[in-house]
Amino acid sequence: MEAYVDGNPDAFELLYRRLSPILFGYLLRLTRQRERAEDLLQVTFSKVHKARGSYLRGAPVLPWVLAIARRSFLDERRHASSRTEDLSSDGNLPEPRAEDAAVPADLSAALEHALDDLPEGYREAIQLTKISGLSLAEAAEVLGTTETAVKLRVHRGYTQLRKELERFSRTA
Amino acid sequence: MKTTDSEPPDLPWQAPPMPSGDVSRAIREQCMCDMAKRRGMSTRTRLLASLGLSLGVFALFAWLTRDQYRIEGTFRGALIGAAGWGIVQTMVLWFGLATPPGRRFSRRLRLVLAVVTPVLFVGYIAHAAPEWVTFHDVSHGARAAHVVRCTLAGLSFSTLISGGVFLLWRGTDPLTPGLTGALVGLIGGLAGGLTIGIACPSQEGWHSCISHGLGAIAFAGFGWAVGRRLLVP
Repeated sequence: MEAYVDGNPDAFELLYRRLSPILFGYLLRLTRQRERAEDLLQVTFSKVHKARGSYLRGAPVLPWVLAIARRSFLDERRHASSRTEDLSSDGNLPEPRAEDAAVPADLSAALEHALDDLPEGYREAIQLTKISGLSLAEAAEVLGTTETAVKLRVHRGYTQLRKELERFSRTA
Repeated sequence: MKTTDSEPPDLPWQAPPMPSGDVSRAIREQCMCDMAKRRGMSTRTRLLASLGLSLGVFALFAWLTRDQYRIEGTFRGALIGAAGWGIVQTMVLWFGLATPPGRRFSRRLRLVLAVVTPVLFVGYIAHAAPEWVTFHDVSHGARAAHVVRCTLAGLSFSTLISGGVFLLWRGTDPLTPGLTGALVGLIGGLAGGLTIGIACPSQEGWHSCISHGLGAIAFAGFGWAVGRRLLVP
């Protein structure tokens, strides 16, 4: 990050390669729509690029960037909620995507499906700690809550995930 | 991947997805076209400038009002009090802003700092006041006018100092901007209270608490709201 702030293009490339999968995965799970997640990824990197001068030396980069991504998502959602629902040309609501109703093919897909069905708070806590790799303290900072609350959400989320996976294993 | 203490990494998570090539290209083009060095002020410069701003306004006003009537012997006491609270202010600045976000004290501790410090400041002012009149007396006539004048002056100093500190630390905290903003407001409120306290001849308890002390509480709350807008990148 230091080298990127100092104007090194290679440092940006390295940062992008390391951060973009984590950020995109996080945004994809928040939005559940690839197009929206890609738009938000662009917005996030644009904000990070503009704000790189105000990055305080020594601050952990991943929580810093994830917090910017989360804020971008919340801003976008707030704006979207004030707009009317997009209708198709004949005035009907759009059809749900086929993948929403698809039966998961394997355990990993079933896990993703089960994660999607979790309440947002549990999903975000699991995403940040288990998948993005933040510590409990870092995830608590990003989510604006306490470590204990994050730990509880992860625990409850995992309990639900395990139940869903057991159900999938029995039926499969 | 790091894991938390609560659960083992026993679930088969899919590999992180990649954004499409077009999106990656667009992001690279957008960022690479402007890769000039963008090093803002260092943390040390921001810290020293914030302290200098508080101290400068305090010293300037103390010097400008040096010929005003002051009760004999109380000026030194006020200076010692101001020095003590100046140390508190420096600690708030150090732990609340100069330590990089993500490495600061826990949110709960900083919240306690933002809430308890201004309350202690008002408590100190109330405790140090040598005389008290009834609230009716202080809310009428010349005393009331003096309260209004001092309050307005104190709020002006607080606005000037917290505004300057906000500008110095703008965009530095995407993690806890509200809480950090409250600490910036607290710094401005404390500095404003100390500045008006050193220049004001009144030692009366109600006057000191309202005109010199309440600004710290008000600015901590005000800073919370402003920080959520100004401190996020």
